[in-house]
Amino acid sequence: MSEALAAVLLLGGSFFMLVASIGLIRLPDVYCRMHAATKATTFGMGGILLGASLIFQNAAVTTQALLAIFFLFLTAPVAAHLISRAAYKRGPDLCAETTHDEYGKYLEGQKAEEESPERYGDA
Amino acid sequence: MPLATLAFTIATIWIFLHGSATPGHFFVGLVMAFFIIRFLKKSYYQDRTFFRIGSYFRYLRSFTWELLIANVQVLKIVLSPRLSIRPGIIPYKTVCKTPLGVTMLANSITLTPGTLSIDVSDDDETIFVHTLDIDHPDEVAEGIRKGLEEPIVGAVE
Repeated sequence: MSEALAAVLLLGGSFFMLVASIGLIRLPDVYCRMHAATKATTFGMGGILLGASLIFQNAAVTTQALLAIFFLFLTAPVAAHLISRAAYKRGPDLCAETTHDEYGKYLEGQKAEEESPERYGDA
Repeated sequence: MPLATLAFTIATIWIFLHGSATPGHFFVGLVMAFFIIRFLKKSYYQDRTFFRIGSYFRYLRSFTWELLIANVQVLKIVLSPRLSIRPGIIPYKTVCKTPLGVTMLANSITLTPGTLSIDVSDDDETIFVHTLDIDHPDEVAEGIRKGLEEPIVGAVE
């Protein structure tokens, strides 16, 4: 029973990893690709690790798997956040299909504020 | 969580990692906890309230559910023969006040339905969210508010 469940988890996890890789190729720009990279890998990796801990049924392995999942979920979004932020500030543009870009407006507003002399009252 | 409790938690995790629960291993765990805490004390966010376990679990449950939906949505988008996406960046006004709350919310947004937090404004009030498929910006914001922000406010604010 637990072996069947472990098999399902391992296969499901690998399937999500595959979907993440396909998404990485198919999606049009950096930001969309980050969606595929963060979500499917955390989920896929989580499934694989849980499956592994089910097979071994050993306190040490289970703890290691749970800690790995915990830190994966802690670090993946931070990496995605930094990569997409850095990409926006100095790299490739948003893809042509993009409909809203409020962040660009915010950055422009910030820039204008820094450059405007009125901010300091004189000059 | 107070530092002493943290030390005991680390020692307990060490015992589980090791797989044998003897007093000696617990002691080794405590010694390691001492050094870990010594080195990382500055960046440790000390919470004055103790665990609000019920709210943490509610957040965890809500988050897991959102995570499941997220992955199915990304799956559908990636595997559909015609790639029909309308991405965009929308601002999200948060009610979280503490650094921990904003961090948790931004990270949770990245891990759930078609959304990715790109940046937080300087005043920590607005999170810029990249969305894979925008039909209605308001619906996206409503989803974040219901599914993630409310449980987080309950757990850590």
